[in-house]
Amino acid sequence: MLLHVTKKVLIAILTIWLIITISFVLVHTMPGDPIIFLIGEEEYYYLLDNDPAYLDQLIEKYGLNDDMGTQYARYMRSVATLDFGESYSNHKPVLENFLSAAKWTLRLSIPTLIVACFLGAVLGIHAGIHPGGRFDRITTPIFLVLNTIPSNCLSLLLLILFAYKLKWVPINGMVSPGVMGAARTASILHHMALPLFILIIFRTSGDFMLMKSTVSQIRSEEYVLTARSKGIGRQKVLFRHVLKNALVPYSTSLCMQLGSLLSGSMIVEVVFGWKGMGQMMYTAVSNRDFATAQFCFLLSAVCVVLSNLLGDIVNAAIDPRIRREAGADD
Amino acid sequence: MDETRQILLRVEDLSVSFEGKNFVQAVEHVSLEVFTGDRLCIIGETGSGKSILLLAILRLLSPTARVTGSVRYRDQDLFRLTEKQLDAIRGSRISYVPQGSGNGMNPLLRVGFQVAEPLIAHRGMKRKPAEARAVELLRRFHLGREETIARQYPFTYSGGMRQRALIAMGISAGAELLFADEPTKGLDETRVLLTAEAFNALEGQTLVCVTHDLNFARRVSSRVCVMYAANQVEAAPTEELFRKPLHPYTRDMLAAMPENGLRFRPGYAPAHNDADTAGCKYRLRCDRCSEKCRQTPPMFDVGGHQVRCWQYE
Amino acid sequence: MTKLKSNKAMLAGLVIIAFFVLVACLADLLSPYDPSALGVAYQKPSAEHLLGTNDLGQDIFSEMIYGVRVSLFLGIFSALIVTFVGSTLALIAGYYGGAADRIICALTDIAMAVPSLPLTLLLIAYLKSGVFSLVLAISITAWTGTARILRSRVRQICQLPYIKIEKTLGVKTPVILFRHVLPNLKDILLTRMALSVSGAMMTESGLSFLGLGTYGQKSWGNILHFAFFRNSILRGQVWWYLPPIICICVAVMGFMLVGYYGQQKKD
Repeated sequence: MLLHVTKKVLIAILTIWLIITISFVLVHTMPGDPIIFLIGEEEYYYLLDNDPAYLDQLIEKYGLNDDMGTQYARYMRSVATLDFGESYSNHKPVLENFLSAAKWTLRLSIPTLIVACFLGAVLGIHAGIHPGGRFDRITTPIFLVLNTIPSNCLSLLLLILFAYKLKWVPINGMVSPGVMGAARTASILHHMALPLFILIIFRTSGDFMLMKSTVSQIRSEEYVLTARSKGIGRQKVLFRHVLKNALVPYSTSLCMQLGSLLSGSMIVEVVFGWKGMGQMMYTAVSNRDFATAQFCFLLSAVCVVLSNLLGDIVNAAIDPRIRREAGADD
Repeated sequence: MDETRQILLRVEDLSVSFEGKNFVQAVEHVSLEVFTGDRLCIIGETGSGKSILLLAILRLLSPTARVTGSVRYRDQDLFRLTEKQLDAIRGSRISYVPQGSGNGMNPLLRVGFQVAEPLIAHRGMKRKPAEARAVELLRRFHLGREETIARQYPFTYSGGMRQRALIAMGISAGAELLFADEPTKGLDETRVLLTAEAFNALEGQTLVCVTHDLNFARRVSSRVCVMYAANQVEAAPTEELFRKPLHPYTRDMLAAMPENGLRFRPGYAPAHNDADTAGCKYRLRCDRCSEKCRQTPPMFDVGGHQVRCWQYE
Repeated sequence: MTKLKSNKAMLAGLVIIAFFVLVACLADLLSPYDPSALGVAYQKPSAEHLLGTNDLGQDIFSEMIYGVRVSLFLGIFSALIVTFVGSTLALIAGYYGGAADRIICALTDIAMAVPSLPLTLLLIAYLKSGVFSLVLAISITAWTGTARILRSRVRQICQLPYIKIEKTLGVKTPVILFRHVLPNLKDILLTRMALSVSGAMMTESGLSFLGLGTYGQKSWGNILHFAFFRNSILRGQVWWYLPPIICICVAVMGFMLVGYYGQQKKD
């Protein structure tokens, strides 16, 4: 087990290093002068026309005339010290912008993850335990459709219905201006109701499909028949034998979803004017704010790698066969 | 047959079919009796409906199966019990032993616990003493290093070990009737012998075993029932059947055994969804077939030897 | 019963796809105006302009019809690339096994760890907008699913006795691959491809909706982008924002039905 985890951790570290390197290579192989990606397009063309000397000074400052090895070393050092440079749009350190945006995104994504994980599991189990039954025949097409509607379409449709027509929720933003204390909290909750609802719908439909197909597959396994033949009762057959096995893929998928905690809600954030990570990434890309865009990419990559690592560990903790497989490697 | 023994299980006119687009008649009008202490083997080729028969008796088939007829266990009609009442019998009085080469054990639970599960459910035992009892049971079937392997997971077991552990699981709560499904499937000759030994070591349990392995059947059973294409075609004490098979199918089957010269009669069993269901199922392959075989023959009794063939009218 | 149902669902999907393909082919005949021709802005639907005009006075109905071409082309083209890359890697990994298999699996694992949306965005930021960068950005991480599923299938097929016999007899690799392995993969390739198209169209509509898609040629996502950011919802211009939403949903659904129920039929 320990060996298995160590191996996975090493692979994760290697992957993170690869991704950091890829993003370095990306900057230096993309068409155009790398200095564009550091100071932004407008600034570059402005300086090129009006102050080429300053531009050269900048190129010197960022060390772009050094050989690749030196540049790579400098880049790695800045990543290691969490120095991601300065955002080109508001001239604050990228890290500072990130911290305020992350707070808002987590307010949406954590409740989504928790609610959808339970809702998807409960509904998925019900549908999967009697495939072709009435519950399955009703819920599966609904979730299948919800799973296929692009998030921008569903967001807009619900925005029109609940915010414009019914006026139940505000159209845009995160909090009404000028309110404090409990009223502020209430206002935030009011603003987040609809985006949260949409995110929960999407996450639930994914979780539902996974749980349903896993349960319906496991219930026809021979060991479930054995368990039923022992007369231990429906509940125990379901929890001890069906669900314990269904939990292996489900918990892996939940862990992997942690990887999209920060970047998974971009379109919803943009539609609802929610100033979170997704919005930040979107603004960065549309303004060609490369420092921020690159940071967002690195951050989400690291999140995904770490959550996959967590998934592997949880998987090995539940399933003895995986532990053994890893043990057989020594 | 010793008439003083009690009837433990009486199956009457049991039929199983699977409805749907592909209609399948899996078991057709099967009747049989199991006495206490009996060792009954149900033999037949793959697809003859013998495994379905076992599952139907314990009502373990999926809801899509249509089951008719009646099954009495001692003084209870199993088909009239509620699911809860039936659970009090499953594993406690009648238990089912799946094949060891398959996926019959939960891969995520330790074998010791799975063997102990019926004890906890039916005998009100706590987990610890039940698992200690499970180790003893495993020891009874000579699995070797029982203390250690009881704490291991099923995937570390060989097929033969799993089969014996499953038998231990079947008798752990003291069930008096044991249903075994193809216990020798996928096992090599040595493991088949070990499994036969394990069954023969049972004391006080009645065994109903489904198999297509004739030698194994001869080794463990006292009575044999032969099935062909969803129908029961012959039933007799084991030695009698092997010495003097009556039904043409049984004869052909025995003739096809290696030690009897591998004489094989060509042809296939009729399809399960064949519209033409009337008549003897074997008539298309039988060399003594007559005009009468177009009608379904009843079971004839030839001195305690039952056979479904018009020759013995 | 379920088989019949899945056939019906697949048929519905095929009808939807056929409809859009037909519209795309006949776009020149069907659209009453040049979608880029300017006119009077913000007109309501009338006999002249079935779906009114947008902020630049372009006929929305014509835009929608030409949008079929762009959206379908992007979706299908990306899916072709995804399927080609995925199945090539799967064939190599599954057929040769050993080191090739390990390298390709490791590559797939790493590509799966790369978050697709941020990478797509980053690429678009670097590459500037355009059809090519959009297709590249959509397909660069999408091939992993196809590669993984096909690899295990190819491996299964290569374990079959007759393939092993052909290998020992010295039949040439391309012959084995094209005559025996690929025909066995036909169904799964088609269903995976349909799912890839629906995935690619979803990504494309999301990106174009954010204004990160193609310039010049307007896809449905693009039309929706302008409808949303030019406040058509606030003005209640249903005829502007609703058609692209409906078309995107229906088209994605069509490909998904074929992919999902086609797969089920196989099981």
